[in-house]
Amino acid sequence: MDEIALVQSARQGDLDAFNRLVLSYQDMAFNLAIRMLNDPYLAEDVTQTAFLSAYRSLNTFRGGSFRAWVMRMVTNACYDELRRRQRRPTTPLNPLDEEDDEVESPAWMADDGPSPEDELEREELNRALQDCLQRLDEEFRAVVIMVDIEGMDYLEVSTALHRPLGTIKSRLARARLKMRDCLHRFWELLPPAFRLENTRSA
Amino acid sequence: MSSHLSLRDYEQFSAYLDGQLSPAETRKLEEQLKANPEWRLALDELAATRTVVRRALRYRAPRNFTLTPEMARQAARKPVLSSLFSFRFSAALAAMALIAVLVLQVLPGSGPASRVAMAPPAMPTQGPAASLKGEEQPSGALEAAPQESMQATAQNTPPPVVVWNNQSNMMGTGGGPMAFGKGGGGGGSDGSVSAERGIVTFNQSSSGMYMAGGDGGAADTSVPQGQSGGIVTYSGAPAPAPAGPVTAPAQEQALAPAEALSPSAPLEGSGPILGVPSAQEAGQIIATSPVMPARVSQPVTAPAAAPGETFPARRLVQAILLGVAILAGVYAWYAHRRA
Repeated sequence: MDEIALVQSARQGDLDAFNRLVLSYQDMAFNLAIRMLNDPYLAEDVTQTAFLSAYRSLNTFRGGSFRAWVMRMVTNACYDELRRRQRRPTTPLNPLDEEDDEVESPAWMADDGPSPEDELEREELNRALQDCLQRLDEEFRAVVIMVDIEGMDYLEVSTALHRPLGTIKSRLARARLKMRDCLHRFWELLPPAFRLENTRSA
Repeated sequence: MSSHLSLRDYEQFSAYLDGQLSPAETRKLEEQLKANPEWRLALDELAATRTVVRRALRYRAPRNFTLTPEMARQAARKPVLSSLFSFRFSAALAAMALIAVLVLQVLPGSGPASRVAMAPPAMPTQGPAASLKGEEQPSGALEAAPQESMQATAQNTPPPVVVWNNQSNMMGTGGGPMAFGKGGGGGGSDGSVSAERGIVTFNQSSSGMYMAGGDGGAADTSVPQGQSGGIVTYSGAPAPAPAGPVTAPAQEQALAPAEALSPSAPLEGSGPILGVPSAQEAGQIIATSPVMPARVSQPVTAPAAAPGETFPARRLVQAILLGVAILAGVYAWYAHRRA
Protein backbone atom coordinates (compact mmCIF):
# COMPACT_ATOMS: atom_id res chain seq x y z
CA MET A 1 0.00 0.00 0.00
CA ASP A 2 1.49 3.30 -1.00
CA GLU A 3 1.66 6.41 1.12
CA ILE A 4 -1.38 8.11 -0.37
CA ALA A 5 -3.51 5.02 0.22
CA LEU A 6 -2.26 4.80 3.79
CA VAL A 7 -3.16 8.41 4.39
CA GLN A 8 -6.63 7.87 2.98
CA SER A 9 -7.16 4.83 5.16
CA ALA A 10 -5.89 6.65 8.21
CA ARG A 11 -8.28 9.53 7.57
CA GLN A 12 -11.10 7.01 7.58
CA GLY A 13 -10.09 5.85 11.02
CA ASP A 14 -7.70 3.03 10.17
CA LEU A 15 -5.21 3.28 13.03
CA ASP A 16 -3.00 0.55 11.62
CA ALA A 17 -2.57 2.50 8.42
CA PHE A 18 -1.60 5.57 10.39
CA ASN A 19 0.86 3.59 12.49
CA ARG A 20 2.56 2.35 9.36
CA LEU A 21 3.09 5.95 8.41
CA VAL A 22 4.46 6.60 11.89
CA LEU A 23 6.97 3.82 11.52
CA SER A 24 8.08 5.29 8.21
CA TYR A 25 8.80 8.75 9.59
CA GLN A 26 9.55 8.30 13.25
CA ASP A 27 13.33 8.26 12.82
CA MET A 28 13.25 11.39 10.77
CA ALA A 29 10.88 13.05 13.23
CA PHE A 30 12.97 12.11 16.23
CA ASN A 31 16.17 13.22 14.53
CA LEU A 32 14.68 16.62 13.78
CA ALA A 33 13.40 16.93 17.33
CA ILE A 34 16.66 16.04 19.01
CA ARG A 35 18.62 18.37 16.73
CA MET A 36 16.23 21.16 17.47
CA LEU A 37 16.02 20.60 21.22
CA ASN A 38 19.38 18.99 21.99
CA ASP A 39 17.66 16.82 24.56
CA PRO A 40 16.79 13.16 23.87
CA TYR A 41 14.05 12.94 26.46
CA LEU A 42 12.30 16.10 25.39
CA ALA A 43 12.75 15.01 21.79
CA GLU A 44 10.99 11.77 22.60
CA ASP A 45 8.05 13.54 24.17
CA VAL A 46 7.85 16.04 21.37
CA THR A 47 7.91 13.32 18.72
CA GLN A 48 5.04 11.51 20.37
CA THR A 49 3.12 14.76 20.69
CA ALA A 50 3.72 15.51 17.04
CA PHE A 51 2.32 12.16 15.89
CA LEU A 52 -0.70 12.63 18.11
CA SER A 53 -1.23 16.05 16.56
CA ALA A 54 -0.82 14.55 13.11
CA TYR A 55 -3.44 11.91 13.82
CA ARG A 56 -5.79 14.54 15.16
CA SER A 57 -5.21 16.86 12.20
CA LEU A 58 -5.29 14.33 9.39
CA ASN A 59 -8.30 16.04 7.87
CA THR A 60 -6.25 19.19 7.34
CA PHE A 61 -3.77 17.40 5.07
CA ARG A 62 -4.48 18.70 1.59
CA GLY A 63 -2.13 16.50 -0.37
CA GLY A 64 1.43 17.10 -1.47
CA SER A 65 4.34 15.78 0.50
CA PHE A 66 3.11 13.87 3.54
CA ARG A 67 6.65 13.85 4.86
CA ALA A 68 6.76 17.64 4.81
CA TRP A 69 3.37 17.74 6.51
CA VAL A 70 4.57 15.43 9.30
CA MET A 71 7.73 17.49 9.71
CA ARG A 72 5.56 20.56 10.14
CA MET A 73 3.88 18.84 13.07
CA VAL A 74 7.25 18.03 14.56
CA THR A 75 8.58 21.54 14.02
CA ASN A 76 5.53 23.13 15.60
CA ALA A 77 5.82 20.82 18.59
CA CYS A 78 9.50 21.78 18.88
CA TYR A 79 8.67 25.50 18.74
CA ASP A 80 6.08 25.01 21.47
CA GLU A 81 8.61 23.20 23.61
CA LEU A 82 11.25 25.87 23.02
CA ARG A 83 8.82 28.61 23.97
CA ARG A 84 7.83 26.67 27.07
CA ARG A 85 11.47 26.31 27.93
CA GLN A 86 12.03 30.04 27.51
CA ARG A 87 9.20 30.78 29.91
CA ARG A 88 10.49 28.26 32.43
CA PRO A 89 14.23 28.13 32.10
CA THR A 90 15.68 24.93 33.41
CA THR A 91 19.14 23.51 33.50
CA PRO A 92 19.56 22.27 29.97
CA LEU A 93 20.27 18.63 29.49
CA ASN A 94 23.15 18.32 27.18
CA PRO A 95 23.73 14.68 26.61
CA LEU A 96 26.31 15.40 23.99
CA ASP A 97 28.52 17.12 26.55
CA GLU A 98 27.63 15.51 29.84
CA GLU A 99 26.02 12.15 29.20
CA ASP A 100 27.93 10.77 26.32
CA ASP A 101 27.02 7.20 27.11
CA GLU A 102 23.36 7.74 26.48
CA VAL A 103 23.85 9.67 23.30
CA GLU A 104 26.35 7.23 21.97
CA SER A 105 24.04 4.33 22.62
CA PRO A 106 23.87 2.18 19.51
CA ALA A 107 20.10 2.32 19.65
CA TRP A 108 20.20 6.04 19.00
CA MET A 109 22.60 6.06 16.12
CA ALA A 110 22.46 4.82 12.64
CA ASP A 111 24.89 2.00 12.18
CA ASP A 112 26.57 2.75 8.90
CA GLY A 113 29.38 0.38 9.71
CA PRO A 114 32.20 2.87 10.11
CA SER A 115 35.54 1.93 11.60
CA PRO A 116 36.22 2.90 15.25
CA GLU A 117 38.48 5.71 14.08
CA ASP A 118 35.85 7.03 11.78
CA GLU A 119 33.24 6.73 14.48
CA LEU A 120 35.34 8.70 16.95
CA GLU A 121 35.94 11.35 14.37
CA ARG A 122 32.26 11.58 13.60
CA GLU A 123 31.38 11.82 17.25
CA GLU A 124 33.69 14.77 17.71
CA LEU A 125 32.36 16.39 14.63
CA ASN A 126 28.84 15.70 15.76
CA ARG A 127 29.49 17.42 19.05
CA ALA A 128 30.84 20.49 17.34
CA LEU A 129 27.96 20.55 14.93
CA GLN A 130 25.37 20.32 17.66
CA ASP A 131 27.05 23.12 19.54
CA CYS A 132 26.93 25.34 16.47
CA LEU A 133 23.33 24.40 15.70
CA GLN A 134 22.28 25.48 19.16
CA ARG A 135 23.73 28.91 18.50
CA LEU A 136 21.35 29.49 15.59
CA ASP A 137 17.92 31.00 15.92
CA GLU A 138 15.31 28.27 15.94
CA GLU A 139 13.93 28.97 12.47
CA PHE A 140 17.42 29.09 10.93
CA ARG A 141 18.23 25.90 12.80
CA ALA A 142 15.14 24.16 11.44
CA VAL A 143 16.02 25.10 7.86
CA VAL A 144 19.59 23.87 8.00
CA ILE A 145 18.59 20.64 9.78
CA MET A 146 15.88 19.86 7.25
CA VAL A 147 17.98 20.63 4.18
CA ASP A 148 21.45 19.50 5.17
CA ILE A 149 20.77 16.77 7.73
CA GLU A 150 17.36 15.44 6.73
CA GLY A 151 17.96 15.89 3.03
CA MET A 152 14.66 17.61 2.28
CA ASP A 153 14.33 19.85 -0.75
CA TYR A 154 13.46 23.54 -0.61
CA LEU A 155 9.82 23.02 -1.49
CA GLU A 156 9.32 20.46 1.26
CA VAL A 157 10.98 22.74 3.77
CA SER A 158 8.81 25.61 2.58
CA THR A 159 5.74 23.44 3.20
CA ALA A 160 6.97 22.18 6.54
CA LEU A 161 7.85 25.61 7.89
CA HIS A 162 4.98 27.38 6.17
CA ARG A 163 7.30 29.99 4.74
CA PRO A 164 7.82 31.21 1.16
CA LEU A 165 10.48 29.58 -0.92
CA GLY A 166 12.55 32.76 -1.02
CA THR A 167 12.55 32.94 2.76
CA ILE A 168 13.82 29.37 2.94
CA LYS A 169 16.66 30.15 0.51
CA SER A 170 17.65 33.26 2.40
CA ARG A 171 17.55 31.59 5.80
CA LEU A 172 19.49 28.62 4.58
CA ALA A 173 22.27 30.82 3.21
CA ARG A 174 22.46 32.83 6.42
CA ALA A 175 22.39 29.67 8.53
CA ARG A 176 25.21 28.18 6.52
CA LEU A 177 27.26 31.34 6.91
CA LYS A 178 26.77 31.24 10.67
CA MET A 179 27.66 27.57 10.72
CA ARG A 180 30.79 28.33 8.72
CA ASP A 181 31.91 30.96 11.22
CA CYS A 182 31.07 28.74 14.17
CA LEU A 183 32.76 25.62 12.82
CA HIS A 184 35.94 27.56 12.24
CA ARG A 185 36.42 27.56 16.02
CA PHE A 186 36.36 23.77 16.00
CA TRP A 187 38.67 23.43 13.07
CA GLU A 188 40.95 21.00 14.88
CA LEU A 189 37.98 18.65 15.30
CA LEU A 190 37.11 18.71 11.66
CA PRO A 191 38.40 16.04 9.34
CA PRO A 192 41.45 17.34 7.47
CA ALA A 193 39.60 17.18 4.23
CA PHE A 194 36.98 19.60 5.53
CA ARG A 195 39.07 22.00 7.52
CA LEU A 196 38.39 25.52 6.54
CA GLU A 197 41.80 26.80 7.49
CA ASN A 198 43.13 26.45 4.00
CA THR A 199 40.53 28.69 2.52
CA ARG A 200 40.55 30.95 5.54
CA SER A 201 44.25 31.63 5.32
CA ALA A 202 44.10 32.26 1.63
CA MET B 1 37.80 38.10 3.27
CA SER B 2 35.06 38.22 0.71
CA SER B 3 33.59 41.01 2.73
CA HIS B 4 32.32 42.68 -0.40
CA LEU B 5 29.99 39.79 -1.06
CA SER B 6 26.47 40.51 -0.17
CA LEU B 7 23.95 38.21 1.43
CA ARG B 8 22.27 38.00 -1.92
CA ASP B 9 25.51 36.60 -3.38
CA TYR B 10 25.68 33.99 -0.65
CA GLU B 11 22.08 33.07 -1.31
CA GLN B 12 23.11 32.42 -4.89
CA PHE B 13 26.05 30.32 -3.75
CA SER B 14 23.88 28.32 -1.38
CA ALA B 15 21.22 27.65 -3.99
CA TYR B 16 23.94 26.82 -6.53
CA LEU B 17 25.38 24.16 -4.22
CA ASP B 18 21.93 22.61 -3.84
CA GLY B 19 21.24 22.75 -7.56
CA GLN B 20 18.35 25.16 -7.03
CA LEU B 21 19.38 27.80 -9.58
CA SER B 22 17.89 27.99 -13.02
CA PRO B 23 20.20 27.16 -15.96
CA ALA B 24 20.54 30.83 -16.81
CA GLU B 25 21.39 31.75 -13.23
CA THR B 26 23.85 28.88 -13.03
CA ARG B 27 25.60 29.96 -16.20
CA LYS B 28 25.84 33.56 -15.07
CA LEU B 29 27.19 32.59 -11.66
CA GLU B 30 29.80 30.26 -13.10
CA GLU B 31 31.08 33.03 -15.36
CA GLN B 32 31.42 35.33 -12.36
CA LEU B 33 33.23 32.62 -10.43
CA LYS B 34 35.77 32.25 -13.19
CA ALA B 35 36.33 35.96 -13.35
CA ASN B 36 36.60 36.50 -9.62
CA PRO B 37 38.83 34.20 -7.50
CA GLU B 38 37.42 35.62 -4.26
CA TRP B 39 34.01 34.45 -5.24
CA ARG B 40 35.38 30.98 -5.86
CA LEU B 41 37.01 31.02 -2.43
CA ALA B 42 33.80 32.02 -0.71
CA LEU B 43 31.89 29.34 -2.59
CA ASP B 44 34.42 26.68 -1.54
CA GLU B 45 34.06 27.70 2.10
CA LEU B 46 30.33 27.40 1.94
CA ALA B 47 30.59 24.07 0.16
CA ALA B 48 32.91 22.72 2.86
CA THR B 49 30.52 23.85 5.58
CA ARG B 50 27.61 22.21 3.83
CA THR B 51 29.55 18.97 3.53
CA VAL B 52 30.49 18.97 7.22
CA VAL B 53 26.88 19.54 8.29
CA ARG B 54 25.73 16.76 6.03
CA ARG B 55 28.09 14.40 7.80
CA ALA B 56 26.19 14.87 11.04
CA LEU B 57 25.03 11.71 12.76
CA ARG B 58 21.44 10.66 12.27
CA TYR B 59 19.63 9.59 15.35
CA ARG B 60 17.25 6.70 15.38
CA ALA B 61 14.04 6.74 17.31
CA PRO B 62 14.65 5.12 20.73
CA ARG B 63 11.24 3.45 20.55
CA ASN B 64 8.22 3.21 18.36
CA PHE B 65 5.86 6.16 18.41
CA THR B 66 2.86 4.28 17.10
CA LEU B 67 -0.47 5.16 18.66
CA THR B 68 -2.48 2.79 20.76
CA PRO B 69 -6.27 2.73 20.36
CA GLU B 70 -6.56 4.52 23.71
CA MET B 71 -4.19 7.27 22.56
CA ALA B 72 -6.15 7.59 19.34
CA ARG B 73 -9.41 8.00 21.27
CA GLN B 74 -7.85 10.63 23.49
CA ALA B 75 -6.46 12.44 20.49
CA ALA B 76 -9.88 12.44 18.87
CA ARG B 77 -11.49 13.90 21.98
CA LYS B 78 -8.83 16.40 22.79
CA PRO B 79 -9.56 19.12 20.22
CA VAL B 80 -12.94 20.02 21.65
CA LEU B 81 -11.83 20.03 25.26
CA SER B 82 -8.56 21.77 24.66
CA SER B 83 -10.03 24.38 22.35
CA LEU B 84 -12.68 25.29 24.87
CA PHE B 85 -10.16 25.87 27.62
CA SER B 86 -7.13 26.95 25.70
CA PHE B 87 -5.30 30.21 25.96
CA ARG B 88 -6.05 31.16 22.39
CA PHE B 89 -9.77 30.52 22.69
CA SER B 90 -10.01 32.44 25.93
CA ALA B 91 -8.03 35.37 24.57
CA ALA B 92 -10.15 35.48 21.42
CA LEU B 93 -13.34 35.30 23.46
CA ALA B 94 -12.19 38.16 25.66
CA ALA B 95 -11.33 40.27 22.63
CA MET B 96 -14.66 39.61 20.93
CA ALA B 97 -16.62 40.39 24.07
CA LEU B 98 -14.78 43.67 24.48
CA ILE B 99 -15.42 44.58 20.86
CA ALA B 100 -19.11 43.82 21.35
CA VAL B 101 -19.19 46.08 24.38
CA LEU B 102 -17.62 48.91 22.41
CA VAL B 103 -19.96 48.39 19.46
CA LEU B 104 -22.97 48.58 21.74
CA GLN B 105 -21.51 51.69 23.25
CA VAL B 106 -21.22 53.55 19.97
CA LEU B 107 -24.42 52.35 18.35
CA PRO B 108 -26.49 55.38 17.28
CA GLY B 109 -29.29 56.33 19.62
CA SER B 110 -28.12 54.20 22.48
CA GLY B 111 -24.87 55.59 23.66
CA PRO B 112 -24.43 58.04 26.45
CA ALA B 113 -23.54 60.73 23.94
CA SER B 114 -27.08 60.90 22.65
CA ARG B 115 -28.47 60.85 26.13
CA VAL B 116 -26.24 63.67 27.13
CA ALA B 117 -27.43 65.63 24.16
CA MET B 118 -30.98 65.24 25.36
CA ALA B 119 -30.16 66.10 28.91
CA PRO B 120 -29.71 69.88 28.73
CA PRO B 121 -33.42 70.71 28.27
CA ALA B 122 -34.05 69.13 31.64
CA MET B 123 -31.67 71.47 33.34
CA PRO B 124 -34.02 74.45 33.75
CA THR B 125 -36.24 72.42 36.01
CA GLN B 126 -33.34 71.70 38.30
CA GLY B 127 -31.68 75.03 38.00
CA PRO B 128 -31.57 77.81 40.53
CA ALA B 129 -34.65 79.76 41.31
CA ALA B 130 -33.21 82.90 39.89
CA SER B 131 -32.66 82.67 36.24
CA LEU B 132 -30.20 85.07 34.84
CA LYS B 133 -31.30 86.86 31.80
CA GLY B 134 -28.81 88.91 29.94
CA GLU B 135 -25.24 88.68 29.00
CA GLU B 136 -23.58 89.12 32.34
CA GLN B 137 -24.98 89.08 35.80
CA PRO B 138 -22.27 87.91 38.07
CA SER B 139 -22.45 89.35 41.53
CA GLY B 140 -26.02 90.47 41.44
CA ALA B 141 -27.17 86.98 40.76
CA LEU B 142 -25.04 85.57 43.49
CA GLU B 143 -26.62 87.86 45.98
CA ALA B 144 -30.15 87.61 44.79
CA ALA B 145 -30.47 83.91 44.34
CA PRO B 146 -29.93 82.71 47.90
CA GLN B 147 -32.34 85.21 49.30
CA GLU B 148 -35.14 84.26 47.03
CA SER B 149 -34.60 80.59 47.27
CA MET B 150 -34.72 80.72 51.02
CA GLN B 151 -38.03 82.48 50.91
CA ALA B 152 -39.37 80.04 48.47
CA THR B 153 -38.49 77.20 50.77
CA ALA B 154 -40.08 78.91 53.73
CA GLN B 155 -43.37 79.44 51.92
CA ASN B 156 -43.32 75.95 50.49
CA THR B 157 -44.19 77.29 47.10
CA PRO B 158 -42.64 76.73 43.74
CA PRO B 159 -39.53 78.79 43.35
CA PRO B 160 -39.90 82.10 41.63
CA VAL B 161 -38.09 82.79 38.46
CA VAL B 162 -36.59 86.19 38.41
CA VAL B 163 -35.08 87.46 35.25
CA TRP B 164 -32.60 90.19 35.50
CA ASN B 165 -32.50 91.89 32.24
CA ASN B 166 -29.28 93.70 32.51
CA GLN B 167 -28.17 93.63 28.97
CA SER B 168 -24.83 94.98 28.25
CA ASN B 169 -26.10 97.29 25.59
CA MET B 170 -28.20 98.96 28.20
CA MET B 171 -25.22 100.01 30.14
CA GLY B 172 -24.53 103.61 30.35
CA THR B 173 -21.29 105.20 30.99
CA GLY B 174 -20.58 102.83 33.80
CA GLY B 175 -19.76 100.06 31.48
CA GLY B 176 -19.52 96.63 33.05
CA PRO B 177 -22.01 94.56 34.87
CA MET B 178 -23.76 96.21 37.69
CA ALA B 179 -24.43 94.55 40.95
CA PHE B 180 -27.60 94.82 42.82
CA GLY B 181 -27.24 96.90 45.92
CA LYS B 182 -23.92 98.23 44.97
CA GLY B 183 -22.79 101.40 43.57
CA GLY B 184 -24.95 104.25 44.53
CA GLY B 185 -23.96 107.77 45.06
CA GLY B 186 -26.44 108.84 42.56
CA GLY B 187 -29.14 111.28 43.22
CA GLY B 188 -32.04 108.94 43.40
CA SER B 189 -34.90 110.46 45.28
CA ASP B 190 -37.18 108.74 47.73
CA GLY B 191 -39.58 106.40 46.24
CA SER B 192 -38.12 106.73 42.86
CA VAL B 193 -36.34 104.38 40.69
CA SER B 194 -32.84 104.94 39.71
CA ALA B 195 -32.59 103.37 36.40
CA GLU B 196 -29.44 104.93 35.33
CA ARG B 197 -27.11 102.58 33.47
CA GLY B 198 -29.73 99.98 33.17
CA ILE B 199 -29.98 99.27 36.86
CA VAL B 200 -33.33 99.02 38.48
CA THR B 201 -33.95 98.60 42.12
CA PHE B 202 -37.15 98.30 44.00
CA ASN B 203 -35.66 99.26 47.29
CA GLN B 204 -36.81 102.73 47.93
CA SER B 205 -34.19 103.76 50.31
CA SER B 206 -33.58 107.43 50.60
CA SER B 207 -29.99 106.85 51.31
CA GLY B 208 -29.60 105.20 48.03
CA MET B 209 -27.30 102.59 49.44
CA TYR B 210 -29.08 99.85 47.54
CA MET B 211 -29.37 101.81 44.44
CA ALA B 212 -27.26 101.04 41.56
CA GLY B 213 -24.88 103.68 40.75
CA GLY B 214 -25.92 106.54 38.76
CA ASP B 215 -24.56 109.77 37.79
CA GLY B 216 -27.66 111.49 38.77
CA GLY B 217 -31.18 110.66 39.51
CA ALA B 218 -33.16 109.93 36.55
CA ALA B 219 -36.54 109.50 37.99
CA ASP B 220 -39.64 108.85 36.08
CA THR B 221 -37.89 106.24 34.16
CA SER B 222 -40.39 103.94 32.63
CA VAL B 223 -39.94 100.39 33.65
CA PRO B 224 -41.55 97.82 31.43
CA GLN B 225 -43.79 95.47 33.16
CA GLY B 226 -41.92 92.33 33.23
CA GLN B 227 -44.20 89.71 34.52
CA SER B 228 -45.36 86.78 32.61
CA GLY B 229 -46.06 83.23 33.51
CA GLY B 230 -44.69 83.68 36.95
CA ILE B 231 -41.46 85.14 35.67
CA VAL B 232 -40.75 88.46 37.14
CA THR B 233 -38.46 90.60 35.16
CA TYR B 234 -36.85 93.63 36.49
CA SER B 235 -35.88 95.45 33.49
CA GLY B 236 -34.24 98.74 33.74
CA ALA B 237 -33.48 101.27 31.18
CA PRO B 238 -31.53 104.42 31.38
CA ALA B 239 -33.36 107.66 31.22
CA PRO B 240 -32.26 108.50 27.79
CA ALA B 241 -32.39 104.93 26.91
CA PRO B 242 -32.88 103.92 23.36
CA ALA B 243 -35.96 102.01 22.56
CA GLY B 244 -34.18 98.84 21.51
CA PRO B 245 -32.91 97.56 24.82
CA VAL B 246 -36.20 98.11 26.49
CA THR B 247 -38.19 96.17 24.01
CA ALA B 248 -35.94 93.16 24.07
CA PRO B 249 -37.09 91.76 27.38
CA ALA B 250 -40.69 92.53 26.53
CA GLN B 251 -40.43 90.33 23.49
CA GLU B 252 -38.88 87.65 25.55
CA GLN B 253 -41.75 87.66 27.95
CA ALA B 254 -44.32 87.65 25.23
CA LEU B 255 -43.41 84.07 24.45
CA ALA B 256 -44.81 82.87 27.73
CA PRO B 257 -48.32 81.47 27.79
CA ALA B 258 -50.99 84.01 28.29
CA GLU B 259 -52.88 81.99 30.84
CA ALA B 260 -49.94 82.20 33.15
CA LEU B 261 -50.51 85.86 33.51
CA SER B 262 -51.97 86.50 36.85
CA PRO B 263 -53.66 89.78 37.61
CA SER B 264 -53.24 89.06 41.26
CA ALA B 265 -49.54 89.22 40.98
CA PRO B 266 -48.82 92.43 39.25
CA LEU B 267 -45.38 93.73 38.89
CA GLU B 268 -46.35 97.17 39.91
CA GLY B 269 -46.00 97.73 43.58
CA SER B 270 -47.54 100.32 45.72
CA GLY B 271 -44.75 102.74 45.31
CA PRO B 272 -45.01 105.95 43.54
CA ILE B 273 -43.51 104.56 40.38
CA LEU B 274 -45.37 102.11 38.27
CA GLY B 275 -43.89 98.68 38.49
CA VAL B 276 -41.79 99.39 41.50
CA PRO B 277 -42.78 97.72 44.73
CA SER B 278 -43.14 99.61 47.87
CA ALA B 279 -40.65 99.53 50.68
CA GLN B 280 -42.70 96.88 52.49
CA GLU B 281 -42.47 94.61 49.52
CA ALA B 282 -38.73 94.85 49.28
CA GLY B 283 -37.07 91.50 49.45
CA GLN B 284 -40.30 89.55 49.25
CA ILE B 285 -41.37 87.22 46.63
CA ILE B 286 -43.94 88.93 44.59
CA ALA B 287 -44.57 86.24 42.11
CA THR B 288 -43.96 82.56 41.78
CA SER B 289 -44.04 80.27 38.89
CA PRO B 290 -46.64 77.63 39.62
CA VAL B 291 -46.76 76.57 36.05
CA MET B 292 -43.69 76.23 34.00
CA PRO B 293 -43.89 77.58 30.52
CA ALA B 294 -44.77 74.96 28.02
CA ARG B 295 -41.71 75.58 25.93
CA VAL B 296 -39.55 74.62 28.85
CA SER B 297 -41.41 71.69 30.28
CA GLN B 298 -42.23 69.93 27.06
CA PRO B 299 -38.76 69.01 25.92
CA VAL B 300 -37.96 67.77 29.38
CA THR B 301 -40.43 64.94 29.51
CA ALA B 302 -39.84 63.48 26.08
CA PRO B 303 -36.12 62.76 26.32
CA ALA B 304 -36.45 61.66 29.88
CA ALA B 305 -38.63 58.77 28.83
CA ALA B 306 -36.50 57.71 25.87
CA PRO B 307 -33.41 56.59 27.77
CA GLY B 308 -35.58 54.79 30.25
CA GLU B 309 -36.74 52.39 27.56
CA THR B 310 -33.37 51.37 26.12
CA PHE B 311 -30.98 52.00 28.92
CA PRO B 312 -31.40 48.90 31.08
CA ALA B 313 -31.39 46.30 28.30
CA ARG B 314 -28.33 47.64 26.55
CA ARG B 315 -26.51 48.30 29.75
CA LEU B 316 -27.34 44.83 30.97
CA VAL B 317 -25.98 43.25 27.80
CA GLN B 318 -22.89 45.42 28.01
CA ALA B 319 -22.36 44.47 31.64
CA ILE B 320 -22.69 40.77 30.84
CA LEU B 321 -20.30 41.02 27.91
CA LEU B 322 -17.83 42.97 30.00
CA GLY B 323 -18.00 40.31 32.67
CA VAL B 324 -17.41 37.58 30.09
CA ALA B 325 -14.47 39.55 28.70
CA ILE B 326 -12.90 39.95 32.11
CA LEU B 327 -13.38 36.30 33.03
CA ALA B 328 -12.04 35.08 29.70
CA GLY B 329 -9.10 37.45 29.92
CA VAL B 330 -8.24 36.27 33.41
CA TYR B 331 -8.48 32.65 32.31
CA ALA B 332 -6.35 33.37 29.23
CA TRP B 333 -3.72 34.88 31.47
CA TYR B 334 -3.92 31.84 33.75
CA ALA B 335 -3.71 29.42 30.81
CA HIS B 336 -0.76 31.32 29.41
CA ARG B 337 1.05 31.08 32.72
CA ARG B 338 0.24 27.41 33.10
CA ALA B 339 1.31 26.49 29.59
